[in-house]
Amino acid sequence: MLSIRALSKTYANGINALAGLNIDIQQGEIVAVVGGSGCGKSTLLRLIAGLDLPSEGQIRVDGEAVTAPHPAIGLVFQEPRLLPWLTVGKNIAFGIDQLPPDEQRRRVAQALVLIGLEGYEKRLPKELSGGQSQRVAIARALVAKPKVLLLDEPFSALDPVTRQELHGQMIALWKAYRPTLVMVTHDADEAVALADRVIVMAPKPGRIADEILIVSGRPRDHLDDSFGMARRRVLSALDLTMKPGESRLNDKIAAGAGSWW
Amino acid sequence: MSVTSAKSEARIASAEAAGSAFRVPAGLIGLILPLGLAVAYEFAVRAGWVEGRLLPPPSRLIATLAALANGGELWLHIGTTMARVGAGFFFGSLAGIVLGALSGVSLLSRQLLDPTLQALRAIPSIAWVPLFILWFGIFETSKVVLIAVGVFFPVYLGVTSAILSVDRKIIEVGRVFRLGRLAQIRRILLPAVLPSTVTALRSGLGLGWMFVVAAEFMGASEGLGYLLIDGQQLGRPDQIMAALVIFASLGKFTDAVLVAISRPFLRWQDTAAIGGQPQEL
Ligand SMILES: Nc1ncnc2c1ncn2[C@@H]1O[C@H](COP(=O)(O)OP(=O)(O)O)[C@@H](O)[C@H]1O
Ligand SMILES: [Mg+2]
Repeated sequence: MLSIRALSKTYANGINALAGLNIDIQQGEIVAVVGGSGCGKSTLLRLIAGLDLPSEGQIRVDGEAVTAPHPAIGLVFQEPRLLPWLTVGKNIAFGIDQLPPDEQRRRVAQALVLIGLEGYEKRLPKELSGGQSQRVAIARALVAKPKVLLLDEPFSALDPVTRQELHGQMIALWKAYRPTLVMVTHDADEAVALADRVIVMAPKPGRIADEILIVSGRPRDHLDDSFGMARRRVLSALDLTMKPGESRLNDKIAAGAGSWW
Repeated sequence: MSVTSAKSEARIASAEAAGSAFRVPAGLIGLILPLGLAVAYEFAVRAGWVEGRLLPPPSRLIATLAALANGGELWLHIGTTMARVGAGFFFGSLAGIVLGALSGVSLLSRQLLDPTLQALRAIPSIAWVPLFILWFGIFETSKVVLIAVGVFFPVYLGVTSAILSVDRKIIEVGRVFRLGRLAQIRRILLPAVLPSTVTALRSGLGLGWMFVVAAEFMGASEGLGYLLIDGQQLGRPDQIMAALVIFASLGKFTDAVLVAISRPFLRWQDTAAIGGQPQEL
């Protein structure tokens, strides 16, 4: 349902952030995008979200070309970016103010329960912790019921315990709304814990180095053998992308770990 | 900070106050110095240690104020000056907000307007007085225009820079949710620039009070500035000081009104100042 074809982005300053990406994502799939910093992960999400335009290539959601922010696509930034003058409830409803008030209230109430912040509706963002703010940001994107939700390192600023907790809630939210999720992370554990498929990106120019399918069901046990194996494969693919001069990157990984294709 | 912890802190503070004989309510601490000096000076004059002719003692000041108030004269002067400041502040801040918003929102208007306004700003505003008198006469118009000019610049600059410094990140939130240009302005830009706009209006108001004095110096038959000049010509320092006290009170009062009006809209701010008072850091 989300198809990315020959996607390239060269910024005005000449930096080639993405070069010739092809990705196809199924309805309801959870895809994690991992890679070192500067390999174009945020650029990729901004292009899908329609915040920036690609230099070349195309993005289609259900066959429709994305050239500007699209109603079917939501985005959660790395920082919560809540509006400080709105209460938690109004922040969550920010993107659905065209709906009837009753429906808005219903969706906000449901989202508050799912993110574990019942009773916080009237609070202001300044009264929230980082993890709570990020949950509100995720709820704000989800209540608009996007078909595709993009998340740019949503948990990277949080401590490991909070992060673990949010992983559980993320899956619960996904089960409630069933959006297609594309999540950028720099944490291999996080990618393997949540995703159906992990896309490993390499820098300069930003491109896909490897894709790893994770077939096990959820919830996933971190101590499980298959979890450890998947995690090692993601890490070794990441390792290879860090080494300069790996021209035949894809072949090596394919030979070494038996890639999914 | 949560409400409960603020409350418990208040409780701790009042418990401390009860425990210590030297503790004075926060608002009163600031009164110690001026009241102490006034009482000491009054005492010194009465004891005959100082003459007190050029600097009248508090009792004479109060008597002068009372006499002015009883004669009804005081209210006329206050009313006139307030009307001038009010009109000047209204027109000056209206122009400042409109042009500041234009400059902030549109690059073209900024390139068009800003250099000229910056050049005009380089003229010390009092220097306009002779020209304004030639253009608008010596009556109300020239006074109001001068005050408006004084109010305009801080408001214009404050609004422009407030708009230019709105965080690109929250503007992107509006873009992701596909807000139109008007909705973007109403739902993101306006609330985001409100705090700095209030600050700009407050400095504009302060300048308005400064300029009303200049305006009333240039020939007025009523107003607090007239009271100052009149006191000088009659050799009555008590009248001058009475006018100064009223200026100070009115300036503070109108600023407090502005703050009070804007406070309900600014509760969301997460700054070090709580209730308008900066906290000890
Ligand atoms: N707005 C921009 N203008 C110019 N260069 C940019 C811009 N945004 C990102 N880049 C460059 O593009 C590359 C990819 O950046 P980004 O997509 O943010 O990477 P990541 O999110 O993977 O860390 C980097 O080299 C970065 O410096
Ligand atoms: Mg990034």
